[in-house]
Parts: sequence; C-alpha cells; structure tokens
Amino acid sequence: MATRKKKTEKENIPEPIYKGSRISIDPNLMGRFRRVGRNPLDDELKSEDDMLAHDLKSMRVDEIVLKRRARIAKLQKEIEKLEKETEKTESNDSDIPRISVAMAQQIGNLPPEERNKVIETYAAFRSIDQSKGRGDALLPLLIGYSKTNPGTPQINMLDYAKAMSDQLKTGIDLMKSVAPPQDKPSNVMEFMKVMKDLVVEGVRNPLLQAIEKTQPQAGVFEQILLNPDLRTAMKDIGMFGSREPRTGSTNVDLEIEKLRGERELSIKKLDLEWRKSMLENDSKDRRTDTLLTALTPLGAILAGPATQRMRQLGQQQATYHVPPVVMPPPPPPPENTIQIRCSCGYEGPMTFLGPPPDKIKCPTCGQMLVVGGTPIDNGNPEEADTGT
Amino acid sequence: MTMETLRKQIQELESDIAKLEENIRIKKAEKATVAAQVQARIFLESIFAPYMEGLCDVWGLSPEEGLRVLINEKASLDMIANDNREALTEFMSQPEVRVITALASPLGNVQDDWIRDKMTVLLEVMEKIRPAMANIITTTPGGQDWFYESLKGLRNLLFGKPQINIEKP
Repeated sequence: MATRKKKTEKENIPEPIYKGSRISIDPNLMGRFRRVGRNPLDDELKSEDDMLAHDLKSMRVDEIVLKRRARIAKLQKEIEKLEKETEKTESNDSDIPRISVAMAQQIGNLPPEERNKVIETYAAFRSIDQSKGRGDALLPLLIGYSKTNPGTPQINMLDYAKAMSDQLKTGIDLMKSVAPPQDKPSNVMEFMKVMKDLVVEGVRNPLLQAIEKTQPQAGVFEQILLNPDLRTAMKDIGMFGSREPRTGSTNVDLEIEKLRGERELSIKKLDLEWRKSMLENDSKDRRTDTLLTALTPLGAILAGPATQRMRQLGQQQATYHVPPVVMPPPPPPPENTIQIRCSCGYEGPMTFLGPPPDKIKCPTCGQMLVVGGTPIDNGNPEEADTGT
Repeated sequence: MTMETLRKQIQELESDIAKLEENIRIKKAEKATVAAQVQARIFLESIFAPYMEGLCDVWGLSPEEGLRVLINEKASLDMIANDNREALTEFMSQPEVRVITALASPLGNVQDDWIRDKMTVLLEVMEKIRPAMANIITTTPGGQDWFYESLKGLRNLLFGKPQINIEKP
C-alpha cells in the first residue's frame, strides 16, 4: 500500500516593502520554490565562469608544454655535455682497467691464492693484448676457470686465457666478415650515442604523446611563439617572466582580477540602475496629488452639514457653559428731554443722556439758563422744564 | 566593456540617484505642506470657526471676543464640550459627523508633538482665512497654549483615545 507523502508546509516569508511599495523579487531568491529552473543571470554568470576556466586551463596547458620542452632541451644539452666529458675521459684513461662492481665481488669471493692468480694472469694478458674489449671480456672467463679448476698452476691459466683470447678474436673477425658493413663503428661512443637516442626518445615520446592528448589544437602559447610580433609584445608585457624576482601575481592572475573587478562593477551598475528606476517611479508617484485632489471636493461636500452641526453643538454647549466674564450688558441710561424757554425768544426741547446738568447754554444766544428755574428779564438764567 | 567605462557609468548613475533623491525629498516636503494646509483649512472652516460662532451667538459676543474670553478663562474647547456630554453624544451620533470622524480616524493616533507641529500650519492658514481670530490667538498671552490644549482635547474627544505620552530621558 502506497503511503502518501505529507505536504510540507510552505514558509510564509513576508514580502519586502520599500517606502510603502511592495517589491517583487524572484521567488527563487526568496527560497519560496524549489530551484527547478535557473535564473538567466545565473546561466550567464556560469557561462562566463566556464569560459574563464576554459581559458585558464588552456593557458596552464600551454605553460606545461613550454616547461616540458624547456626540460627536454635541457636534458639534450646535459647528454651532449656528458658525451663530451666521456670522450675526454676515454681518451685519457685508456690504461685503467674497467672492472665492474659485480666482477670485483666475484674476484673477492675467490680464495686468496686463486684470486692472486686470476689478477696476475689478467694483468699479464692485458699488458700483452692491447685490445680493450677482449681484455675486459677475459676476466669473467678467468674467474670461471679458477672456480672450476682450483689449484691449477698459473701457466695453465695463461694458456687458457690465450686460447680464449684467440677464440674471441676469431669470432669477432668472423662476425665482421659475416655482418654487413655498418655506418657507425660499434665502440663505446657509438653505444652511448645509440643509448642517448633511445633515452631521449624514451623520455620525449611519452611526453609528446601526453601533450598531444591534452592539446588537440594549437594553443595560445604556440600561436604566440610562432608569431614573432606577438611574442615580442607578450615579452614586453612580461608574459614569459623576467630576470627580476616574481612579485607574486602573474598576468593570468591580473587578468582574472580584472575580470572579477569588471563583474563586480557590472553588478553594482545593475544595482544602481534598479535603484534609479525605483526612484524614478517614486518621483512619478501621483498618489499624494490624487489624495490632495480628492481631499478638496470631499471637504467641500462635508463642509455644509459639518459646519451646521458644529454651530449647533457650539450653541448647545454655550447654554451650559457661560463664562463669568460674559455678563449681560448694562441697560442704557434713560433719556431726559427738557423744554428750554429763553428770554431771547428761543423755545425748544433739549435731550440729555441721564440727568441734565444744573446750567445749560441757550443754543441761540448762548445765555446761561438754570435748569428748573423761572425766566428772569434781567438776564438771570431762565428756568427750564425738567423734560419728560 | 572596460573598467573605465563601467566606473564612469556608475558615477553618472550615482549622481542621477542623488539628484532624484533630492527632488523627491523636495517634492514630498512640498506635497506634505500643501496637504497639511488643505487639512488645516478644512478643520478651521468646517469645525473650529462654526463651533466658535455657535458659542458666541449665545453669549452675544463676536467670535474674536469669545475667543479672547476663553483664552483668558483657560477654558479649552474640550472642557466646554465636557460640560454637556449629552449634546456631545448626540453630536457624535450624527451621520455626517461619523463620516468625518471615520475619514479623520488616523488623527486619533497622532502624538502631541505632531499636533504642536501642525498647530503652526493651522495658525498660518488661519492668518489667511480668519486673520482676526489668528491675531487673538497669537497676541493674547497664553493663546497658543490654549489652542494647543484645545486641539489635543478635540482629538481625545472625537477619537476617544487619550494619548499617553511617555517622557523620554
């Protein structure tokens, strides 16, 4: 029975908000979805990385090729030097017997008497026969003879040596007559030359094969080496190193650093461009304008009823809260009007606020009249009515 | 693309961004000022002035005289309103008032400092539309304090949430 997998609960990651605006970010970056597809930017960066790695790899292969070629050239020089030294040595030490270590051990294992006999016979025979090859070849035969015929007089050993030497000489002559004429004589020098070729080929061929395997096409370095102008230019910028000590950073490192710097700057540029576009959108934001545009008519619509309600509220509150300072205004003073009768003949009313003064002037002749008095002919103030 | 080109482009972008940020800052400040002035005008024309006129109608004073009396008495608007809670409750239940309080509900969360800042804007606008009243508030001793206390009281009265101001050390 198949078991159903429990659905994993998605994490509720809040979306970032920048200045009140929700920012849409690639869900892959937010970790919201499994990374099934790749971001195009990731692909581009990866392809750029791959290209860099490929370039670096080819440069390193070229470097290895050059190093190995230099090593081959150095080995060839050393071999030639050795050959020259060998030729010199051979021409100088022709009298010194060349006995191998194994041969010396064989001689050392012989009993002292037999050892002396072998050595003396070898020395005597060598002094007689100047041929180096045969003299050297006789020593193992003498050791063998001494081992198989211990106690034999030395004269017999000499006879044996002579017989063997003659046989060797006959064999060599026979071989020379049978064998086709060779271009090169079979001496030690020729042997060494042959060996040198073998050694050189033995070292060089596997290297070349390995190089050919790793470098199917002509590399950057080969192209540089084949093109003299390009090579000079590369030398000038220090691609092949210099006699000065290295400072720790090669051209490749510098190139990589340059590419890395360019990439960082590109990323920064993208970031700034994104920020600029956000700011441009922000600067074009008309929400506040819209709000302001809507606020004015809304205020106008509400102004009528709100104003009325507020006035009513004020009136209602005023009846409950009367400030002590606000007192009813004092009643105006009563108006008094009096009737004036002057001796000059003027007669008419005159109004005063409050009680009239004791004396007043006649508006026609200016004579002083006593309020409430009686008219007198001798110029005393006339009595006026107190008015109504 | 060379490093130099990239550097130049980045410098240009940084310069553009700095200009844009400055423009946005200026624009936002301008818009905020305009918005504050519009709001202040609405408040003064629709709330403050009619209320004062209603009070002074009954008292038999001009709004300016009534304002001076209230300032001298240190009777802020909320204090007066609290004297007649029934009238206030009836007022708050009116549909028009409910719409206004709903629209202006963010004002219920504003801090006292914000009110003090906006009071300046209110006085500036008042000087334009009601210069006599603005003059009374600014010239009468204690006038601005009375206005500030009245605005705070109205916030608490209309939105029912007295603010707790925690004093920062």
